[in-house]
Amino acid sequence: MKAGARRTYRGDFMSFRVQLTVEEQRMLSGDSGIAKMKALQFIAQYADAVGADRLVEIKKAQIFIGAHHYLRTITSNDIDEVIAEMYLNTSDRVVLEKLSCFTQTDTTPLDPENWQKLGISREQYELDGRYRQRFRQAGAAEGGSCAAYMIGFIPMMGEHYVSTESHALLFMNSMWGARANADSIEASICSAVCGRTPLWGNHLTEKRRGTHQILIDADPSTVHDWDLLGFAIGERIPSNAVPVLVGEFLPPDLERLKSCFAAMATSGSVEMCHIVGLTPEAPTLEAAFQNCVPQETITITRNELADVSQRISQQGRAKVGFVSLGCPHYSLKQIQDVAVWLHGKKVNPNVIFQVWTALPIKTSAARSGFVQEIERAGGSVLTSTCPLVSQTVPDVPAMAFDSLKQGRYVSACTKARVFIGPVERCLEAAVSGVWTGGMQ
Amino acid sequence: MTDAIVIKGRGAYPGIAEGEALLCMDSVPGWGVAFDTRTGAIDEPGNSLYGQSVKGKVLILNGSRGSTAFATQFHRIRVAGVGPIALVIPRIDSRTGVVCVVSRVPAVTDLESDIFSVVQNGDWLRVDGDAGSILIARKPS
Repeated sequence: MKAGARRTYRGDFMSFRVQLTVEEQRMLSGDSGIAKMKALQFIAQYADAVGADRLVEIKKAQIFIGAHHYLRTITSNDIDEVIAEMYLNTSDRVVLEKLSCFTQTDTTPLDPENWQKLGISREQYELDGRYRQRFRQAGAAEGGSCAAYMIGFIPMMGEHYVSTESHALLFMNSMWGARANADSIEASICSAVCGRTPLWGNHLTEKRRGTHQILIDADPSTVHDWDLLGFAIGERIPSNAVPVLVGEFLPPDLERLKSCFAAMATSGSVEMCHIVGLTPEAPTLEAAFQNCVPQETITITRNELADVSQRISQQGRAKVGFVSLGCPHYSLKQIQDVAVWLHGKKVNPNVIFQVWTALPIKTSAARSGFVQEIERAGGSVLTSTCPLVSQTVPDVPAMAFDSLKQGRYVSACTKARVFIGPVERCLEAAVSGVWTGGMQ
Repeated sequence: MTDAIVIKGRGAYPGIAEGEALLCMDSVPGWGVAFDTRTGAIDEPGNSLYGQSVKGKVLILNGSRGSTAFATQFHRIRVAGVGPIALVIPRIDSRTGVVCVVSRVPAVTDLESDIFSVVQNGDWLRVDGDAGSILIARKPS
């Protein structure tokens, strides 16, 4: 070997180690169109990279589309060129054709009904509209929510699907025994186009086996407790471990699990979690571990939750200019709780107060009078995105979130003081304009 | 080619490439800013490779972190022409599997021995994505 980096470029290759069916080979030859051919080529390359023996057909896909910030790497105004390069991984200009399975969108970069309120330009709004239209033409339905399972995207036990939303995938794999890997934005779209994903990882029963026993000695009760618990578990286990939760605790509801899984998929790369006695593949401890021995047993105590809270949130007292709730998107129940809490109160005029949810849930919340109550108090109920994804975090010195996921990601891209705490404390801060310290 | 060591693994993306090793122990964040797309420099404060460019390097990537947007970080630097020349991923997962595809460079994974105890930054590596092996030589003089 000699100095000077070099490589042999192989270009487009069409020979794969993964075993393809006759139909898949036909798709690869271009018989079903160029988009499907490129998408299947991607999925076959991905299968070879992970070492999958074959592909599996999927029935559902959740995809992350729209004029998202990272697409600006390509300066072209031709959205088909951008879609081909950034989703289908080809430098050829390929126009999207019909998707192969039911496909629902994840969060988009803006709220299509309230983009002006978020300070988004008309140019960006129109560009986003072109992307959404192109995917609608291909057959995608606009869900516009990270919590897809709250608006009908519910894969059943054993069902193979793909999803771009890490917490939703963890939720659906764990709570319903559905099967997907948290792979990528590109792979999800290619899977939606060609209807296949590598038969690997969480798609295989043996890979869903519990690896780590997590003894919960923290008496988690509130949604915030479960948020902290999820974060603590994600931090303590290695990448791609499958935690098995056991201990004396009240069974968590949808809102608690939603927060717990969001935090767990943020602090760790967790895609599957068993809760003994609650999740379908864990009727017993032995079943969760598929009769194998846990690699490790980890105990999570109340002190550990307090420690996470101390490390993740700013401490002390400060005037806040922004309070945001709803990561993952709020359920109807959570919006009702906020509306009831705000009855007869007013949001401080110096505070921007936002509640984030999915459009169908906002529609029901409006019919129930909850949206009007929040707006009367001076807040907004917004849909289809969040401050982080829309990149619309206001420029204020201090802000508050009720979500470890949102708060932690926002902390990484702002110099503002970021407070994270229970919803009640966020609401108190929104009304008083001041975040007050104290123990969780 | 004296002092050459071979580490065996599994080919994750075909082709052969060689260049200087860069050990990315901390990986990069899946969401937010990971690289400066003008230079290929890791742009995450606190990362042990903060400020160092992956452009033209044999990147030894210690797994993935966080979001399903992880592969887009590598997709962007490849499109911008500042990506690595080859990838070594000691243990594959679904996110790094996609990184191999969007990076379009020779890659080897699922290594039979611990590469971090053998390779140092700047060592000369030949990555054979067809045979699934990595040849480690001293730095060229």
